[in-house]
Amino acid sequence: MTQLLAALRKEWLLQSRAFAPLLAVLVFGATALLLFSFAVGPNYELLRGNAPGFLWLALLLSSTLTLAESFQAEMEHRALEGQLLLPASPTAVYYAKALANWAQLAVLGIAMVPLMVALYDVTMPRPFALLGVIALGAAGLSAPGTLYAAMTQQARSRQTLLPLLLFPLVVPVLIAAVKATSLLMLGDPMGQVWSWTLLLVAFDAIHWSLCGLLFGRVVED
Amino acid sequence: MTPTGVVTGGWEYVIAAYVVSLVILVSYTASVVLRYRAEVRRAFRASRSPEVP
Amino acid sequence: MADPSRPPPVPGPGAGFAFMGLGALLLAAGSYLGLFVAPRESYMGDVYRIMYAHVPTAWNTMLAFTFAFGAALAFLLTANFKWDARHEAAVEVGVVMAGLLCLQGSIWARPTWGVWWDWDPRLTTTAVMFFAFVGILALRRFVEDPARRATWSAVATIIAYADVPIVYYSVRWWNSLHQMQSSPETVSAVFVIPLRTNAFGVLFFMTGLITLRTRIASLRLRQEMAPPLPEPAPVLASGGAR
Repeated sequence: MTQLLAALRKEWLLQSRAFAPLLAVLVFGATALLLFSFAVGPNYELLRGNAPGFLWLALLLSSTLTLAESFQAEMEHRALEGQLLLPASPTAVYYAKALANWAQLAVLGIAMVPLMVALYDVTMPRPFALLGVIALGAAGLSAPGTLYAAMTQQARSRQTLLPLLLFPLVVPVLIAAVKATSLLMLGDPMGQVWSWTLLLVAFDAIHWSLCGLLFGRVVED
Repeated sequence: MTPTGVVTGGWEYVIAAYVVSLVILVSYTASVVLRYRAEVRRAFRASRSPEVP
Repeated sequence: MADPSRPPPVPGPGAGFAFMGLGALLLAAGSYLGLFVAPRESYMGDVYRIMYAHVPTAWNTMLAFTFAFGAALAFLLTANFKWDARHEAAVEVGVVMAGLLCLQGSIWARPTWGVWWDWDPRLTTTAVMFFAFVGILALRRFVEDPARRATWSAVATIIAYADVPIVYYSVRWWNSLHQMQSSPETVSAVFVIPLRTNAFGVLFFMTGLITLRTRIASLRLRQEMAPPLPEPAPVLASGGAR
């Protein structure tokens, strides 16, 4: 546990210097949202209906940028080997990194909501529930994303490899998060949002445990 | 096309499905067999003659 | 950690070709029965005969990926590279079968539903698996160290395979609002024999393919993990004939 806290403190220090890159990714996400509206055209019915999909697609695309960089600091200074020689448990390293990525993605998602309201003319009758769905979806992207970021960091063609590996895996997150967001924004007469939220919770539970378990094998040497 | 009633004809789809299956299976099998032979040849050559620079 | 000084053994090719031959025979018999002997179906006329190719392919695709999962697990537990060779073979064969399955499903959807793709949960899950395992093949291609390649792709296969039920259920719930029920599940006896024959035919044929492909992987691993070449003999210092 103390190892986890130490690793988290390291992540916090890294993050506090990473404000500029995060801002850049946010601009990328905002641009994506804008491009989606150009693709669909200025039809408010269509835009409002598809807004949840656009939000999560923009977040998914942005995640490839943030995840790919998440081990950048360690790579540049060969700090990963150093940490593991300490000896730090790889599990602590993984969870600290995954939590940091989760925080970044959740912040990105929440920051994109006002843009969505402006561009697509959506209403937000249940803002706190929406925050919860964004948090759960970001967690679903972060757990496998952190594992694959560690792998692809050192492989050739890593910019293509990370999304290639990650996207098929997070299809359930995309489906459930878009459905839940859509029900929260456009109305949920049959109370279905809970089943989609449950799906997100199940995905998160499985992947946060499985990827944590397997991370040790990925970074061993 | 409404899903009521019987689908008439459609043999061209059946044939298409079987032809596609055959083509893919045969070409993949050929690829595997050719690669296998190439690997065996290469391994045989490597074992016979130690490489001298 | 996987021991790179112990490459996998390479047995002979015999069993692979035998399996494929047997499989091909069964497939020929089953397809003949299914295409020409079995009677017409009540709803779908003759189009249903695609089932004799499609359903066996579906069963065996899942089998191939399940075997890949088992091999990946076995490699992580034993660090024996023979499992890595089997894993690589099963993933590649599984990808080919999954791609074929999607094509067959698409060809079947057109005359029955009027569209090339109807988001059927099983077929859509297969498409997702196809892309997931293609990614794993790409991962294997881009990692050069054999031990690392084996470990990482094994981890990736385990995660991808564990994901399959979640993908299936999420697509099923997502599509349930629009889904008309697709192919009938119950099959009466007169249709079963060609189906079973073809199922075993594909099974044997696929086993042969995986066996041969495993050999290829084993041979390559032996080459990659071979001990370094001995130092070249020193050239005589005085100029002239060596």
